[in-house]
Amino acid sequence: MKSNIDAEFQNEIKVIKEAKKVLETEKISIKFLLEKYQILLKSYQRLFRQTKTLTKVSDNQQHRLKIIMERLGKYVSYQLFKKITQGKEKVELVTKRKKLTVFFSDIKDFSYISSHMEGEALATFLNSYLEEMTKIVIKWGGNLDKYWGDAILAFFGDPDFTSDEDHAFRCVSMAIEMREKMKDLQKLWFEHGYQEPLQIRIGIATGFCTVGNFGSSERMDYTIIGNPVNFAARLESSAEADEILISHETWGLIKNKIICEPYISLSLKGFHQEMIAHKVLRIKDSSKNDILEIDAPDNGIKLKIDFSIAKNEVLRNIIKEINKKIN
Amino acid sequence: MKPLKISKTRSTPEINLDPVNNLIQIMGESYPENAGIFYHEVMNWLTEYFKDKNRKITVELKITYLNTSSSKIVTEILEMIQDFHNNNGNIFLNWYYEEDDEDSLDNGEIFLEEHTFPYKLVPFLDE
Repeated sequence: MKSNIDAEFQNEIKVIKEAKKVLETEKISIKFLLEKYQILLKSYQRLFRQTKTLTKVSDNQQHRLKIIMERLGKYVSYQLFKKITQGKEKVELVTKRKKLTVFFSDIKDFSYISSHMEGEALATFLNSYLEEMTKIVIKWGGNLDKYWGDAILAFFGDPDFTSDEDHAFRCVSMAIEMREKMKDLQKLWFEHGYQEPLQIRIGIATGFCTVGNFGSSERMDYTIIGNPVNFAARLESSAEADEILISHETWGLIKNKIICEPYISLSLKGFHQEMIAHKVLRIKDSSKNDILEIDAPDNGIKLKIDFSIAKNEVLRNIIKEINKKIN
Repeated sequence: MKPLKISKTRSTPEINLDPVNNLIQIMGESYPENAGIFYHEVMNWLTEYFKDKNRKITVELKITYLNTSSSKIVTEILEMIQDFHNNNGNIFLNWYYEEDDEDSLDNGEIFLEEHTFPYKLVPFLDE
């Protein structure tokens, strides 16, 4: 917003004009000069006071704004905060369709565990859990949509868009890191006297969602709705303790970068057909070649072993069988 | 002198300049696009009003938010009050700040610390 602020400085403009006029006067008496000098000095002192006041007021307001921004930043996701404060996002009820990778997690049996805890202990416990998980969401650039008690909803692909593959990979990487972090937290909580082994369950799904501001013109919430949100939530509730279940579409985007167990079909509430899900084991180590492939039909051999999935026990049994046949 | 009354808008405060009761009131938020133009009439009125040194004046400033241009105008008004006081004028200022809001109190103190006329910082509850 630009404005002409000369009107606020009428006094100063008048004083400067008068001072210039004095310099242009040819014959000048000392008395006249002293009178003008006194006026100029008085005006300068007045301006000095005003400048000091305005500088301090401005510093005070900027300090206040900084504190407000810091506090506000803790209530909305980093990406959304950046979008609002940089003025890119219009504050109106507008939504759009976008392909996102949606993350949903909770702590297994949390309702039961929490019913046995005192309010203060529960708050400390829950906050320490959410604190650690949130750090991981921020690290991987996820948009933390909301907490529901112990549940976390996050998504990748908005406001910052890279590629569907990148969103899916960062989301799954984030989930794996959360699962690893849970091992540290389990030790910590055990040492603090909580005997239940607290375990995370995670569901991830990719697909088109409606993203944007929902609510009223007075109070709105930047969030997502759509099938992938329900799908991720259902996958999460179908997951066992410390399991990460991802949708077939998520898997399809990053299958070359992750190692999963053979797919399973699930009957999920709200879905008319059986849905395919993949249980994530780990990120594929790109420096290792895990595949042994021998394709020699003339010699009667066709073999493919994925060492990242095949269990040693199974491999030893196959070798035993081959030895038996040879002997 | 005639009284001057300006109603409150979204970006400008309610202004009540009452020469009969010798009361000067500015209340509300002040962030007009051009503060110099908005306050032009007010400043002219005050310049004329302060010429009568026999008045016993009460000033009430209850400005809940102000932009920098409005802050400049407020410093001008405070300078006018100071001049009136320096010329043995009888004037008292009530500066209202939001109760339990340290920043609001700080702001009031900053505006007034350069001045020697009598004043009081008065807390009020945000409605």
